[in-house]
Amino acid sequence: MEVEETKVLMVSWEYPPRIVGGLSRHVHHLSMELEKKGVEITILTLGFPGVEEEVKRGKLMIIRENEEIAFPNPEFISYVYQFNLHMFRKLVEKRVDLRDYDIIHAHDWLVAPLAIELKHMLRKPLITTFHSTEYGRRRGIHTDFQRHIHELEWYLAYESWKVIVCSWYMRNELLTTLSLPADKIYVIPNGVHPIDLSKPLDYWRVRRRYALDWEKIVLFVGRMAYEKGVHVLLNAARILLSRRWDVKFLIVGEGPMRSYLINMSRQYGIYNKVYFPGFVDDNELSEIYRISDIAVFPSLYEPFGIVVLEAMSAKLPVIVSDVGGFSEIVQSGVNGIKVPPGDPVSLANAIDYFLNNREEARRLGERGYRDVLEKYTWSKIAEKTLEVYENTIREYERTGWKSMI
Amino acid sequence: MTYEYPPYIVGEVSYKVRKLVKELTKIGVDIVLIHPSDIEGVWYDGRVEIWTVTKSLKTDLHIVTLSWSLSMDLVRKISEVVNHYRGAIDIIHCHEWISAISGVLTSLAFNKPLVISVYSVERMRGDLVNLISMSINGIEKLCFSHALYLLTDNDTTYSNLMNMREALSKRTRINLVKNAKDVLKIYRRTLWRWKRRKY
Repeated sequence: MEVEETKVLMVSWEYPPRIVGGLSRHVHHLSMELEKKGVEITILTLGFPGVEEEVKRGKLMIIRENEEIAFPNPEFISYVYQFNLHMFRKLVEKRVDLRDYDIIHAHDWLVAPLAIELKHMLRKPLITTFHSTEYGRRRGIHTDFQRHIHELEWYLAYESWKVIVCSWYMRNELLTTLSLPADKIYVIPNGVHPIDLSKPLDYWRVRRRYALDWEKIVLFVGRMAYEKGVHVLLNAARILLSRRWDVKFLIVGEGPMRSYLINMSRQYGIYNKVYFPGFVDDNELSEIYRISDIAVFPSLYEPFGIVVLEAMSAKLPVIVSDVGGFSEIVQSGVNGIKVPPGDPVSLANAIDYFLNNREEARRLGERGYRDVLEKYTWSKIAEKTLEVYENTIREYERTGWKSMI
Repeated sequence: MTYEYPPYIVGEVSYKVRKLVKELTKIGVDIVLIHPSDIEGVWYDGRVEIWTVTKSLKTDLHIVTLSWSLSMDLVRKISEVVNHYRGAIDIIHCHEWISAISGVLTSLAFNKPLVISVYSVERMRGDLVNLISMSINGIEKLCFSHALYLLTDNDTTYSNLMNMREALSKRTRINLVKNAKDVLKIYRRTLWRWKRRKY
């Protein structure tokens, strides 16, 4: 089958403008690039009232279920099941010929019921991208609620013809927690749209919003959650600020731990050296990347870590903890520095090293920038995804498992 | 489709379903019955062809998540049956709300009319105040609205269904049926209406 003839039904619970996490952007960029390569894609997703229900752009069609809550649910899992049913109703309502699709591509457990049902009703191969697992998110399975999600993930992985994950770390997680056979899993990293460095920037005007002229800016971007390790960064900041005073820590993002972390910086007596601007839009964020001196990501759990690619695309020298996807993106001394997770002393030393060795920091930042352009563009990610589609279709065509209707 | 069938007995419904399908086969209706079981397979109860399906998820929080997760397995089995008969299934008939979710999905996917037998409704069983009860009530309304016919064998359920009528779609009709011959009449009407449908 030629690429031009491939027709994919992509199912995701978020797609812009509905943005809950990184999944929405992933599906958006991937589908755009696949469409550029000639693949016909229908994205079945959730929206919210007021958003266009059906959008057609070239070979890309977006179908949104906007009124997904019809009745109350006892908890989140029942809500997930309910909106899956509504998404299917919407697909049928739009009179899309379901038999035309070659592949169903699902993203994460939130669309597992629909993806599994579609696979059997259409008798078409199912491919799933796992962006994280319940086991990884919760550091184990502790309640029946988590176990139900874990079982749904297992069922989805079991029913999938192929599974895509964003890092080798995630591959190992699926091998051990979902008992998947290794030959079913493909590792395709996430992509990134590089920060536009040619865009005009009033450097000092932007910089003075966040720091004094003589201060070096150490940047963190991410959700204020325990697994992102911001508390480790604050501990490192206290250690570093006891040695030198020319540093400002800029901690960008929202999350459940934000007020706790602000209080923590007060208790440490470094409040005037740590700035929490909260959520910033994409434009402001790209300006922040360009005026910062170092980017630091001290996560304790990280399936991939797209933020580090964004920082590298702005030529920033990066320091990451040696966990998950970070370990695979960053090579110490080549395109950044890795430190042991949860170790504030090493983190403080690494920041100090970059501040004292500006030329080395610049060299590593340049190399990181080149790595992003070589390995992590959405065009390359789409190419690899297309290979998975083609392999799957080839295998499927050799089987007798076809619709008899 | 039914959630229960002997020897998998939860309540009276399993016996009622068995009696009905056996009588229907006697008057010339071909029945393929699907129900959850501990093993997957095909067997015959007289002339009734029975396909059993196992439940893939083992941890359920309550009856609502059980019904939703079971519907994935029922859809899997119905798809197998429909493909086995190359689409030559005329009507999808579900018993009670638990199996009705999969009935809605497969009726939409395979373009088949849906009939649901209702033996009681949540407003008779529950309080409609706690979230589980409200959720079951919501699922009932949603599934019942997809059906061409709702059948019941008792007056209490019939009057409760009639009270729910405002919340259901206009195409859904409610009938009291006492035996297999009544059900056969409904099947004929279902097929007649299905051929002339404008939706």
